[in-house]
Amino acid sequence: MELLQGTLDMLVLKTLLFGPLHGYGIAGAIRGTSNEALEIEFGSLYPALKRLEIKGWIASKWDMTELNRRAKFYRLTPAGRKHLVEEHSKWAEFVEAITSVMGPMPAAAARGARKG
Amino acid sequence: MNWQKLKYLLPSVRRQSEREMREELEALAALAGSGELGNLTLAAEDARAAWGWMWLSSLVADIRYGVRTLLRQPGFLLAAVLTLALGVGANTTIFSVMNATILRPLPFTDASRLVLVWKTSGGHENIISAPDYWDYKSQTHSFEEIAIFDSSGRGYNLSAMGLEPEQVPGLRVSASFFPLLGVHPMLGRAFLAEEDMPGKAREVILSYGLWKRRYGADAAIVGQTIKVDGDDFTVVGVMPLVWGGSSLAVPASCGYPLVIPKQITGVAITASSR
Repeated sequence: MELLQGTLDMLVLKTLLFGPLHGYGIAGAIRGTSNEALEIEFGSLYPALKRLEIKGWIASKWDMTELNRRAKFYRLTPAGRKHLVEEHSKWAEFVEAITSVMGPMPAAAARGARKG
Repeated sequence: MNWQKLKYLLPSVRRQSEREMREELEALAALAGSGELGNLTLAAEDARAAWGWMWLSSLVADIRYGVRTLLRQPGFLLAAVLTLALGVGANTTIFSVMNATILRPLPFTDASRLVLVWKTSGGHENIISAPDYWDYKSQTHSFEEIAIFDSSGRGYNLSAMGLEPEQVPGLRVSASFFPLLGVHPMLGRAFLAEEDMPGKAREVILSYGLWKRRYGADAAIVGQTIKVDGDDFTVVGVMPLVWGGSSLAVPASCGYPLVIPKQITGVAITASSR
């Protein structure tokens, strides 16, 4: 499934809410939490991490993985946490607005789609 | 403005971030399976864009590349510079001329009603003979006034005891010339009607520049006699500064140091039609 434009930053911040992760781990966590529905390209994730870091919403530090390999771990900063709260309520409003327009699928349209 | 970005202007900071990035990507590549992370060079490239100075570094790189390319082809460089120089120069020159001759108004009274009339023969502009001029003057009713001038020729020789002889450009005009243009002498008077009759001319009007330079701005020069082409001419007037100092409908290159009515030949300047 393609990501909606502008949602990647939010997904990264949300994922880091549960603890520090390295770049590869973040991509895997998003894939897992979305039940394999969201495939994050590392090529877009990595620049997003650098962007968030410069904005001061995440910070990075070298550390060891569970398998004793070196990697750079990203964690949420207080500013990032604050930003995530804002993004979260914006996202909730957005979903509510779209849902009230779309509503449940009308039976007639569903029947039409089956015939066609 | 994100102040964090400013520090990436420093080459040392950029180098440091570059090293960190390479290290991190190598570590991740070792962590993940081969090929799972995709094109890491592209990822690093996009990540660099986050520093916010990509446009500046690519600009610097482009300039460097351009300079190197140009230096490798000096012939092309020379041609390009010359082309630009000539283009700019031509534009400037054309504008200067247009500005002086078309855009700026003539420094004459009622300049919009002045016309320059040429006689044509066989489709070409030609000079007007003195008899023709007199005929136009007495028989044409389209113009309020007609004057004639002659700016051709070699100029006029000035000589005097105790002064360096010199040749100056000059203009021969009819007596109606100055009144028609609405230009009045600063000192003395303009030419009288009888002074432009053939063979009678023995008067001269000086430009401000010549009067100041050669005659020391001496007001007493009016009424005195000076030698022009070896003959005695009486100075009857001196023109104001604006006369010679500004753009003119008549060829400005003449400079108007000297105005001498003589037997008239040449082109005509005429006042506009009614």
